Amino acid sequence: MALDATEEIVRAICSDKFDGERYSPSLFKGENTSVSRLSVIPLEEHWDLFQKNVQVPPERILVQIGQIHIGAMQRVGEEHLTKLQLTVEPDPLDWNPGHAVMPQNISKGLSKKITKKMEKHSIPTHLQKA
Amino acid sequence: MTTTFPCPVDKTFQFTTPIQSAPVGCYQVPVPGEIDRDGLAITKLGARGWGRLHHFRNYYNAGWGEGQGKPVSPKAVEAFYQFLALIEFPANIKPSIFLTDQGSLELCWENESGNDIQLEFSSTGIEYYIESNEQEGTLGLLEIAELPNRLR
Amino acid sequence: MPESSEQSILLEIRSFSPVVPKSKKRKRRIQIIPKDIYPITIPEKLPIKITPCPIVEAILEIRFVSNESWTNIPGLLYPHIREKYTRDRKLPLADWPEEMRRQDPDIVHMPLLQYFNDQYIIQIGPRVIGLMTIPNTYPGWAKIEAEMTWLIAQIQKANFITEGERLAVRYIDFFPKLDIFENISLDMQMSGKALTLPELNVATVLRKDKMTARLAISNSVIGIAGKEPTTGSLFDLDVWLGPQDFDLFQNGMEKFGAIHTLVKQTFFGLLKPDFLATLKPSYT
Repeated sequence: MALDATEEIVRAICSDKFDGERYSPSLFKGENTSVSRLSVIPLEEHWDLFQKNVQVPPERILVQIGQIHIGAMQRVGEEHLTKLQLTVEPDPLDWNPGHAVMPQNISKGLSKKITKKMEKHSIPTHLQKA
Repeated sequence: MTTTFPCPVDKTFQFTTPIQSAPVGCYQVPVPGEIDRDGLAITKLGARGWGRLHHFRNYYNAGWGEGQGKPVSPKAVEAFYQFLALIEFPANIKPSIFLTDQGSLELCWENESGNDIQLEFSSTGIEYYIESNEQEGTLGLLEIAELPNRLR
Repeated sequence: MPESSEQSILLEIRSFSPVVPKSKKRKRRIQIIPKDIYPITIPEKLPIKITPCPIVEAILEIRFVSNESWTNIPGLLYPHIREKYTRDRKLPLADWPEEMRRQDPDIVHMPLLQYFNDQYIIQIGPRVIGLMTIPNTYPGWAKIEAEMTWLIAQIQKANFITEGERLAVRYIDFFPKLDIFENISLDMQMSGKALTLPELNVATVLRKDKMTARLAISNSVIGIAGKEPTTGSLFDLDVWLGPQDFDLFQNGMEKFGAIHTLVKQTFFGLLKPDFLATLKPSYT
């Protein structure tokens, strides 16, 4: 059952997908892209969640969390050259009850547009490794 | 992960902030036979891109990331260096390099008009995307020499 | 096209007829091949055998990437080799936590485990598998070639190699109580005078025919002669092909053969003729 378009979702952005200047075009590319629901877990708690389960220091570090409104993302899909109806399906996991997936096969071009639309939150200073 | 110069002196690799430049105060002995490639990567990509490429090649093993990440394809790396030898990036542009979950290398930059150019090097070929004319395409690994012309 | 000291362009133009429609014209293929750097004269004849045999170890090595984690790989391989390789040995590096091993690029291609019998050792790691002769018991290329052909077939059955990264042949030779620099065609000078030093180590990289060779020569090592340790010289030559220049399961052995030929050409090309004569070379 797809999530309502009014929800906000987030995606972990690690150092393999962001180099400080640009974002990887493949941040959302492919099928079943993982996202997380802010309606289940607030943004502040996502930092610890992602640091524990997504980042693998020293080579892969969580650097940002990208946030997007599902409705806004769906409009991006509809306006893309090759229209794609984007949905987000809940997929709770043991370590993340807010986990969800985007089942559609997202192209690189569309991935880039979604990434541009996202609001990016940088890792709080107190969570950066000293 | 550092995005710049991987310093071998500190074997524990306690990187500080992952994105900022690290002071270049140490040396590194490259893999035999690769000094020219390292020089090429440093010249064309800058310290950040060269450091990231080094990390992708050496530290991202099977199952990286959320468990499904594939190690970087050696054929993709080979094609990547061949392309670097052929391309001239716009002045003052240092492109960005990324690793996909499938083990491909992505290279992204903007042309003189500020439009995105994106390449993805895999074990079977190179996918390209040119934002200015929304052109996408694929070339085989043996057709790399044609790629700079396609990107004009 | 940027100038590069390393790169040269090989232009390969296939048949072209101006009356053929554009869509049917053959593509002009441009290959990018690093320049050969190989200042060694290859002898006309290469010995099959020399006596005494200086070969300490011969290693045929495959570097690869795998979608399998290291914990699965030995279990995938061993069922296919266990009848011939009944003994195994964990190498010290295997006891390092994986976190630490992952963080050092110098050891990422090192083996963690060995399987062995009386003739050979198979060593394997997360990104490498190799066939090595038992030290100081070199059986000849024909026998190694046969064993490697068998091993490649087992590796194919085990199905853990996703993509080949490097195919290499390494020979390590030890010359007891000898300064090898006096016996090879390699001249060095310091301040205009011939360099003759009691502790001298030289390492360089050569290139020929898409193969890369790392040559390391030293006149100050300790090795085994007979069963006793002694000082002497080391000649360590490692030659390899990169990922686009071989397909392990299609032409792997043919490529190993080509690499082995370059190893021999380099070794015998560097030995001075009068030194080679003292090694009683056999050409048949």
